[in-house]
Amino acid sequence: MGVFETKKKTSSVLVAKDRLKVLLVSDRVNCTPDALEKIKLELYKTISKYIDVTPENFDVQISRTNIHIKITGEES
Amino acid sequence: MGEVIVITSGKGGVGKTTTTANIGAGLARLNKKVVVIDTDLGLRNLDVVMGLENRIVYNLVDVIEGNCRMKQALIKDKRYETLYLLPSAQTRDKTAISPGQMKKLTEELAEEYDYVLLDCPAGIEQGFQNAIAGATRAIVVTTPEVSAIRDADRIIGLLEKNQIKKLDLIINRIRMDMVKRGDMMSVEDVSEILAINLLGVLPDDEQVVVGTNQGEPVIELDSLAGKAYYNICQRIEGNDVPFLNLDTNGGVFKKLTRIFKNH
Repeated sequence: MGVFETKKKTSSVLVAKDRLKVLLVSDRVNCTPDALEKIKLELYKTISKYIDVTPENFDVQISRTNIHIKITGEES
Repeated sequence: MGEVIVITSGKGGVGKTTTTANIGAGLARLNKKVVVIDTDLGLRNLDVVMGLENRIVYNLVDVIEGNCRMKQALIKDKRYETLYLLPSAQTRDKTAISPGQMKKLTEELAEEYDYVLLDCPAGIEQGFQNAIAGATRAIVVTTPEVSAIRDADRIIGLLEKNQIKKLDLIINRIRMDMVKRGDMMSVEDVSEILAINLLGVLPDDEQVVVGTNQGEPVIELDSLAGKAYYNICQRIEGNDVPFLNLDTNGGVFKKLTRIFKNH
């Protein structure tokens, strides 16, 4: 059992970083992670009405003072 | 005109007071005129860390209320000629002073000193508002833990909102052995998340406890943390100093501390 445990143990740093990512975003915009997912989804729906986006090239990033909508287009 | 710097963190117990005391000592060692102010009303600590607790006559609230002149309240450090402490009041609470009064007081001190360092209380209440009122620059102290980083992020947001533009980060109590194992966030992880200028990194060093026990700055003890604090002071002064290699591998550093312990 001990052998498998050490092999499967994921580093606690990855857990910490994932938790922080969710925490900071919801702290910054003062809403629940759930509401945030909904915001992202609705932004995606709205934008896709006018611009050709796919879930792969669309991303919403939240910093302390800004909400960035990122659309990665073709590099020319 | 000197610079007014607030040392803050949001979360308690991450090393604000120790950092204030050591940056104060380090800047004084660089021949700067420095005054450190304990703004934690009711929970006086900076005097103890600096070993000056027996010399307090007047305090910050006395100065603000006009019970004494500034000169009477300032305590000269034991070691450094150009370092002074303005202690906090132990029997008053944060409502005894206002942000406006703090701003006036720090402006007055900045005329005479090169650096005015404010040791901020934990939290984001009035004590925090008082401490940041006169500051033009902030040093945010954090440790590589989820709770401390979360609080640091909020504090950074509040500092930005309060028009403090120059923000620096100190990451305290890094343990390289744990970082290597994947059980502690690295310097890169933390500074990437908080995204402000990295001013310094401090190892989790036993000598810090030794210094605090004795009321001596760790900067005077030959230790990795002491060197790191001294480098931070040089960077505050605008010198480009490379970051220390904290990965001591249990080799050279352990040997060094053993040698110093024997002295």
